Amino acid sequence: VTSLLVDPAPPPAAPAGAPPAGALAARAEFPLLAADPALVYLDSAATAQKPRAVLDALRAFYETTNANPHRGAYRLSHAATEAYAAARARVARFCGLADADCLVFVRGTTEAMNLVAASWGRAHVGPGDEVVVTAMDHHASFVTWQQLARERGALFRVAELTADGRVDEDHLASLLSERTRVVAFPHVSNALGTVNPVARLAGLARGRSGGRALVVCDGAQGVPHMPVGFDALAAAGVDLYAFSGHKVGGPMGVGALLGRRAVLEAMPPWQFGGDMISRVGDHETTWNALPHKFEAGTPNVADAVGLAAAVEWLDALGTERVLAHERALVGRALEALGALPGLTLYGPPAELRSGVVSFSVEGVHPHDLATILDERGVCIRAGHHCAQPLMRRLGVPATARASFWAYSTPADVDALADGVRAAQRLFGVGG
Amino acid sequence: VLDAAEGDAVLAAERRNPLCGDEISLQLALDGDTVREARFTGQGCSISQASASMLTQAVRGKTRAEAEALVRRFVAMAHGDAEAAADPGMKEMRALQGVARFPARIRCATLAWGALDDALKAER
Repeated sequence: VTSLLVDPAPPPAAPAGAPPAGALAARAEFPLLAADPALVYLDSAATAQKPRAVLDALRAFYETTNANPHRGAYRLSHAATEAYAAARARVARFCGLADADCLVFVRGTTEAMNLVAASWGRAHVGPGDEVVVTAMDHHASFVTWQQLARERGALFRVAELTADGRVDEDHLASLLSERTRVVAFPHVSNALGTVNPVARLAGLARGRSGGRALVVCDGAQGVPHMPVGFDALAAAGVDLYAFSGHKVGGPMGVGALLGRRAVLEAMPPWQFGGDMISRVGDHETTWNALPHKFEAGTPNVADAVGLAAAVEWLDALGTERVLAHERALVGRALEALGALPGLTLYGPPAELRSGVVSFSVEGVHPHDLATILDERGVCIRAGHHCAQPLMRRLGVPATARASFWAYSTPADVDALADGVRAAQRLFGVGG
Repeated sequence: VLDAAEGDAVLAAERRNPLCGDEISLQLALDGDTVREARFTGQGCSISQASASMLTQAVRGKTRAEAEALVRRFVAMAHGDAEAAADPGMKEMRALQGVARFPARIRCATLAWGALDDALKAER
């Protein structure tokens, strides 16, 4: 009886001392990576490793500032309130949003999408209306809008993609009309890495709908990897934009919904409780001002503070440089993987992507590939990437995905390619 | 196609792994209390497919009670039960005992066995 799973191989020897060459941010700044020099972490699109500055900020908040904000009359509560407001202002500034009250802290992009559908969607979408998403939307957006459309009796329409994994703008345009009430699309495809022309898509949506459609952009894969100027995007037609803090190096459990003031003002609250009310009568209640109207209950202050530390760190590093760094790594990966037999690479050329490479290996299921790579200390994502509609269009149940961030190196890419070759040898494929 | 005889009870169940998209659709033909034939269709990784294939071999000729016991035995083995892994009755299924060391893959190995469990219970 032989095992179908190989025995764990000893991890490759760690380079002694210095951080690996070719990284934008030193590995030493990330305690998890520093603790395991052999680890090749290629799943940053799922969640980023945390800079020490973020972990320090979290600890400092709990050790020096922890109290319930917006409530106590004592100094400590005031300090917590101030820390929360400062975090909001810092994150808003990072995102190019001048009016910080138009930044609502949420758990993450998924919660933001659910907030928008439950609030704006239930109030404004009805029978005969149309809701448009793209075939590259993450389930957080796709399923949320699909279900809202079903619930409200609206028509749900999906904009198709071009063969190289971009939104087919002609098809999108053909779906838009004055019946369109919502248009949702990602800033960057989490499964393909495609960077969408957000301003152009938003302008198309606004124009074709006669200004009647809400334009919602899922920025989960945008904010961590490139400069985002929300006010400029809003001028181009984006009404709401959301992202998750943990992909930006912040803590899990915090993210933000950014919006145009007029849109947020007109949206009803979606959760009820403390902090979000103005005056509670026996039979009616009025709502607090933005952003508190959308933040019922004790807010996640510590993680907001952690997120602010993350964007502070990332700002200092420079998101322009992060994008350039990732594109260089994508180019290297496309070249190395493209040279292997039996590889299918998905998505557009490197200059149209952030740091994502999605691929499949003929004869090796992505899940098996991920296990074999894991044995070599290489972490990749294998699966449908919460994008089953996209996988159907690619004609595969799953792909393997490697994704990069500031700490990723050319050596990481080489370890990936070596691991793929090893998997091919084990499965007896690829010649 | 399931090779069921006239008068066989046909049981079926599907299981999916929502994390990786693997799918197993399992059909059983029962002659009274005995599994006459088992077939699966589906897609997935080598472990889920190998496990499903072994399942259809192993379950043939088993009574319901024996099949249910086999499900428990296999699931125990996949989670690292040394006694189950050493059981000669587990035959070639023992090749999958290694998944116990790979928590992310235990679900792959047990996917079809979950479907068998569902199929056996569904008819009651």
